[in-house]
Amino acid sequence: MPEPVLDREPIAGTPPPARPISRRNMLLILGIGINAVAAALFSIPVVGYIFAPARRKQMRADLAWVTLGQLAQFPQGETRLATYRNPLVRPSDGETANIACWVRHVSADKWQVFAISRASSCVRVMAAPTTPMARALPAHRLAACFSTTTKSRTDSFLSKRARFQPSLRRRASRASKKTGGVHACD
Amino acid sequence: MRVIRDLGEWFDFRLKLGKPIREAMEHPVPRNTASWAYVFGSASLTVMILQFVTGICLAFVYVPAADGAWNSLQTLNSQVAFGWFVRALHGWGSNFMVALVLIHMMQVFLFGAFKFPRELTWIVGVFLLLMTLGMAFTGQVLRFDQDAYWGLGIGRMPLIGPQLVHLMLGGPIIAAETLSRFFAIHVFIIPSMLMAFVGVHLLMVLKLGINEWPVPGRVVKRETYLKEYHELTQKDGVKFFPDAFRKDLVFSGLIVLALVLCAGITGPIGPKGQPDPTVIQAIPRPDFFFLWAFSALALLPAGLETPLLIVGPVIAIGFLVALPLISGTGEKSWLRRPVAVLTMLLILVALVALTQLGVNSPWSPVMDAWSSTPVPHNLLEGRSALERQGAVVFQAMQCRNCHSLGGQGGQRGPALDAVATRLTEDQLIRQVLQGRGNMPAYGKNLSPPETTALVTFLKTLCPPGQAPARNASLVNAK
Repeated sequence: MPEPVLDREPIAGTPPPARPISRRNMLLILGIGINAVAAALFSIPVVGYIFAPARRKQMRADLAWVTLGQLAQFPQGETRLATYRNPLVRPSDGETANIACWVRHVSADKWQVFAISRASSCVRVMAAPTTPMARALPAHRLAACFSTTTKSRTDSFLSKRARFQPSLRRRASRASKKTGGVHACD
Repeated sequence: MRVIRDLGEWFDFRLKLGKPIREAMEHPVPRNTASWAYVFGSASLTVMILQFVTGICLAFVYVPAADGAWNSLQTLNSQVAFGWFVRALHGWGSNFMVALVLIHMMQVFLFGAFKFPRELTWIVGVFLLLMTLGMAFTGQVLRFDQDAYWGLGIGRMPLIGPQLVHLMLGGPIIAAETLSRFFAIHVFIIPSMLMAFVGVHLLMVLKLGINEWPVPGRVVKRETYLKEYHELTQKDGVKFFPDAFRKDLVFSGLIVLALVLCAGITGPIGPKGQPDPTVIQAIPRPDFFFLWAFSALALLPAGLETPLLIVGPVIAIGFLVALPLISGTGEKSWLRRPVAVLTMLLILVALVALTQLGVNSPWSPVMDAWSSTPVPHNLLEGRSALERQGAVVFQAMQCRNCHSLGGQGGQRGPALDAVATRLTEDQLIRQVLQGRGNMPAYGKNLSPPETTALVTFLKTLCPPGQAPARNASLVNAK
């Protein structure tokens, strides 16, 4: 007479029999899965929203030309104060968008501009006649390239002028014709 | 994993929070409360937390100034990365939260969960509902568009009307201080109260236990209930986590998915046009949770507006707060509480019907209907000179702005295609001269001949085959 089959220890080397998943455990797994998907769908855009201002694409878009004034306002060998309006201004920015800068006319075609600002923006201001792309501007006007980024970022931007220069030139030219004293680029 | 565990133990050794949290999560609840009917409270809490997250995100960009709020919302919608989505999540989250809190409240009411010993849990819940509605309303004002501007209109309040207006608006008109005031209420005052009240609400749910599934015949008695509930959880109880928690987890996840889906598909809510009162083309309308009040106030006779605005909320809130004190014991099952069930159904039907009317809201006068829509030909053919003159008066007095003829015209007042079947000549004269309800009196604006002509024309508005209205007293006299 054969012996009844009882619960036996699994034979060494063979995997234990799979335990069936209960309905309750299934519900728990389902709940965790749904919440994981929901959390991802919810949080990815929200995180994107929070960090949007720091995106490289956004920062590149922040490059802009600004007006500093007529060339005659900045005699050679002198340093003059100029003010301009932050080109990234929004309607509600108020007076905080006003920025002052020192403009030093070093020699006939050499300029230095130092912006005075607490903001991370305008860390680097390039006087137009000092750069190849700025030479495209009419000689009697002064413009500055406004950047929200650091010196290295601005330099990097300028080093890519071969790519950006044509459009920058066009914009600078258009803006200067329109206002009689400006700028461009963003 | 070992590092995480060690770190957790390091903190727990100092904070001593692990044990109370474990006890709270694993506290026994009646087995039959692990049901889909009990998931709305946790879902409300989930949406509330998401509202805090998205609200904080929006506050990064939103400008709470009268001249900047609308523009900042446009910036969010079109210039800030994912700004539209965060706005949509917040707007839809508000809708979801109001709906979930209301459903949770209905479930609690039907299950008799407000009875002993959970009276205070219910009362705190009533205030949580009011705060949720307060958040929804103040949030709508923060959009500061046409809806917000016109939605802030305050009805007549006896005695303290002017003071109330100044208190609410921060001045005599809806302007910068109004928005600042509502911003503070929406962002600081109500959320902090909401967090405190939710904390108390949850504490009581933990301490008093989740209300058991109501069984007909199991009557609540103050003397025996606590002992019976304790026995129930011991004999037929399960741990809240993970046994009862599973369905909450699944439902909350589904709600978040639905929220994301609604936000992604429909986008942000508003803002509509700028809050410029000179833009008369505005069609202001509240968000869906206040549409019922919008309809009720528009459709009720003018004299009932003030009582509804002032007395109605006091009675309703008073009733909700007093409910557990009045009916704190007895049957919990809805099968043994027909009056409660019917009352709730009646309120539900009324709210849904008024909301449906509010969605269409055709009651505003069509201000150019009199000049752009001629009187239908069939109403003029074969008429006498006096009757036609009446039609001219009808148009000239701009009756068409509020009353339609042939399906065209305003719907603020009733259609007049068959007015002669409802009103006799005397009644027509009285209505025209004295007005009634929302209709102004035209006695001073019409000469006697014009009135006669108008009423003569109105008497012809009797469809073929239908009898004109008759003066009952004269009929009886004959």
